[in-house]
Amino acid sequence: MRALTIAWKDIRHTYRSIAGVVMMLAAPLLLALALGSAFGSGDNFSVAAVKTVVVNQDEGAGAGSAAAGATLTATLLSPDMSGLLQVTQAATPEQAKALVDDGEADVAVLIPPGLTAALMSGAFGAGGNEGASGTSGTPRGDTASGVADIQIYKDPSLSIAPAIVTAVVQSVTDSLNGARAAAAAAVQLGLSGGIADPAALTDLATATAESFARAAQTKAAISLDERSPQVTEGTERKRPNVASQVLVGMMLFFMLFGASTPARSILDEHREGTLPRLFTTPTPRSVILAGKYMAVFLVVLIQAVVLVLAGRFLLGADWGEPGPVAVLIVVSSLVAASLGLVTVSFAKTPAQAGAVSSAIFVFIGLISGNFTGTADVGALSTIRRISPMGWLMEGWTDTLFGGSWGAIALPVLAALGFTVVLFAIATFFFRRRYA
Amino acid sequence: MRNAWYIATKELLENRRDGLAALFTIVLPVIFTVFLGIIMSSDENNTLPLSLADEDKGPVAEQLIQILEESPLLNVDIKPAAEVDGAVKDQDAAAGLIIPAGFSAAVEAEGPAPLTFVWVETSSGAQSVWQAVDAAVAELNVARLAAQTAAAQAAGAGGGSVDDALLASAASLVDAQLASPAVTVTVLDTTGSTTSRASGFDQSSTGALVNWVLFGLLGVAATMVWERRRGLLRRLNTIGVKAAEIIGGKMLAMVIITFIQQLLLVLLGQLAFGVNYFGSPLALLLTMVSLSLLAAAFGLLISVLFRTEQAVIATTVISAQLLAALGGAWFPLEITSAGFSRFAHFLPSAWVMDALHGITLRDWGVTDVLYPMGIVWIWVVVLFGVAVWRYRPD
Repeated sequence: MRALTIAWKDIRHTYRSIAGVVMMLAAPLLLALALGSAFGSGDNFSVAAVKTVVVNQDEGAGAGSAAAGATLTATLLSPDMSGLLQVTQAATPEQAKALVDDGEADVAVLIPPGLTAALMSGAFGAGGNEGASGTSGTPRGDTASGVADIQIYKDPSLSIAPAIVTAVVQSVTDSLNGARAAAAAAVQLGLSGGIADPAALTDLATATAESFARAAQTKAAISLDERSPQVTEGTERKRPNVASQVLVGMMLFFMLFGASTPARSILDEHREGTLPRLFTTPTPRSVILAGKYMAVFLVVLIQAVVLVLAGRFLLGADWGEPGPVAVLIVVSSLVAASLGLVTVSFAKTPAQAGAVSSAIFVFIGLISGNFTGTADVGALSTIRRISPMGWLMEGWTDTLFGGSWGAIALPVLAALGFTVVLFAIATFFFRRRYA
Repeated sequence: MRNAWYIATKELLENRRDGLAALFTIVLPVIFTVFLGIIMSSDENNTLPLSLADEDKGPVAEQLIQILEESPLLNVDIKPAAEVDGAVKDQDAAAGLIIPAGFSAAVEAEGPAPLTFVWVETSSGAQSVWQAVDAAVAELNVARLAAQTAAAQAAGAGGGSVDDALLASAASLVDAQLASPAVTVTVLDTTGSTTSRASGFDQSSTGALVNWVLFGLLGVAATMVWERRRGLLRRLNTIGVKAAEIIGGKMLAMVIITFIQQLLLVLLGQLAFGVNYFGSPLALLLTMVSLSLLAAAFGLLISVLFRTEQAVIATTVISAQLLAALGGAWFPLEITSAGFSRFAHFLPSAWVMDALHGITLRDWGVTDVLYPMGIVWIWVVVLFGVAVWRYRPD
């Protein structure tokens, strides 16, 4: 009963501190909300439209003939691409590159002046082309050698965005090269077949290129049949929203800070002289320490319950089956309380405890995946398990994704094992100090 | 101002003697850099997963898989056909591709050879994968289609018909043409490199810099609160030390501490993780000084506004996490929505990250960082002004 009285005093003291409440409750919710809004489209592979700037310097091959540069530009600007690409045009390669350098655009597509000319020259038996252009400076359209190099100038910090634009450009380029190859082959075959008239050969090349373009749309052997994923009813895995996945990490992380606040009250009371005074009363020291322990546990338990409920009602988190969730809340509170007490048990002053525990908690958060999630990234997945928080992250993530008792059994047992050891260490140090 | 210098040197001395300071200044930032660096360098974060089932096992299927595996956009995960739909539905894969049995034979026979592309049509990731798969299919189709077209047109022009010999000749000529194409595509970046890609450490090292500079203030801010509670600030006041000197001394100490911390992290990033910090030393210096001033002004404000160590710790931890996470220190803002990125740029941390990315990845010079640092300086002035206004010695 006396232990409960001590615990109740500490709980009230902790929850009366506005800064403490903000840290324990508002901070994890705010971070979950913010990160949820950054990645919360519900699509794990959401890709923002690639800011693409196009410079078309291709002048075509003369009046009346279609310019390949215009074809490529039209493809990039087509409504079909609007979901993937956000395309603007620039007048010169320098302007386009400056936009990428300044971070205004992700990718610049630089179409060289001699693109159509290069395609036309090769189509009339010019033979193969050697030495595609270099890798710097203005994109090269070398009519003499029949090679035109389309440059994709990218922001070096990006990888997916340039690859998307490259795929689109490469697809168009393959078609252009295919049309040219078909035309050139037809001309060679025509020559072998006895057609010597240059005008007839030109007509043959043109007709072949046009025929290839039509055939590419309708007669290609390999085609893509699209469909939605078909999954048997009941076998579909549950998909939690992003905010709830972030909240798990942030909740567990800030529960550590929640635990350290009442744990530090032991040092506070020692410094202020109220703890030694308490020790002079008939209340046994073990009861006083038990009260302190209960306070730490109950403070984080309340914090966890509030955060789980707030996650449910404010962020739409579907935590999973109530039983496993309840067990995880209790075990998480025990782990946080034991960690809070251990970090404080080493410190001599409240200020030192604050700094030490902050450092240790951030370290634990880093290795446990509280900031990065439980993605399977090589050795990090193993390292995560040296921390009780890492096990809890796995348990919570499993329940979020529809796991039940079987999924949380091992994480819960492992976390409880850590908890027993941590409580024992904290008790040893407190007993020694206040013996 | 001599008093301000004394106060600053006393803070620096205390910080140097504090073993914990090293933890916040170097140890934890390095761990943060390594962890995030490894995670961000993994292919999973730089490609889109394509779940692929090969029920054909023929030569054309193998050729297609090879092209797909060479795509910088895709991370091909080969699995049984029965698992492809589940992977897409559960969002373990951005899209799925099923190569049916008999596919290679159908292609060789010039017959229709459909592939099944499994996707959630509204997913932008799936649409991106479609482009890569479509490009691979186009590459496979081109040679055969060009040979067929050339043979048909040549036969038509010569008044003959397409036979196997003509088709073989056409195929041979087309292959020769495609071996040295008229149009090539080259991808290059600001450095002129065709192969470079930002490593995860480019993000994690700069992110750690911003994230941990604020944590580095914890000691000084907590000390100021403790000194106020013990009446030390009031005592300084009574012996003639002006408020401006106390504030100036504390601020100077915070600037020096955070600058040294940055310097160590920059050197470590450059030497151990290969981050190109020294492309423009002047731009880097301006950014580091601005970040130190920002952190110091922020730390000063926290220590002035809050009366207890607990409140200072809570506020520092929350602000450091929020500023870092929302400002792009944990993940690049480029991968978030345009709306989120715009919102993030209300925060000074986002502008510091922009400048650091510009310096390390885009060869930015001093003039390029003037605008982002100008915004950071506005923050510094506002935070410092409020701190001075709200300062009370007791």
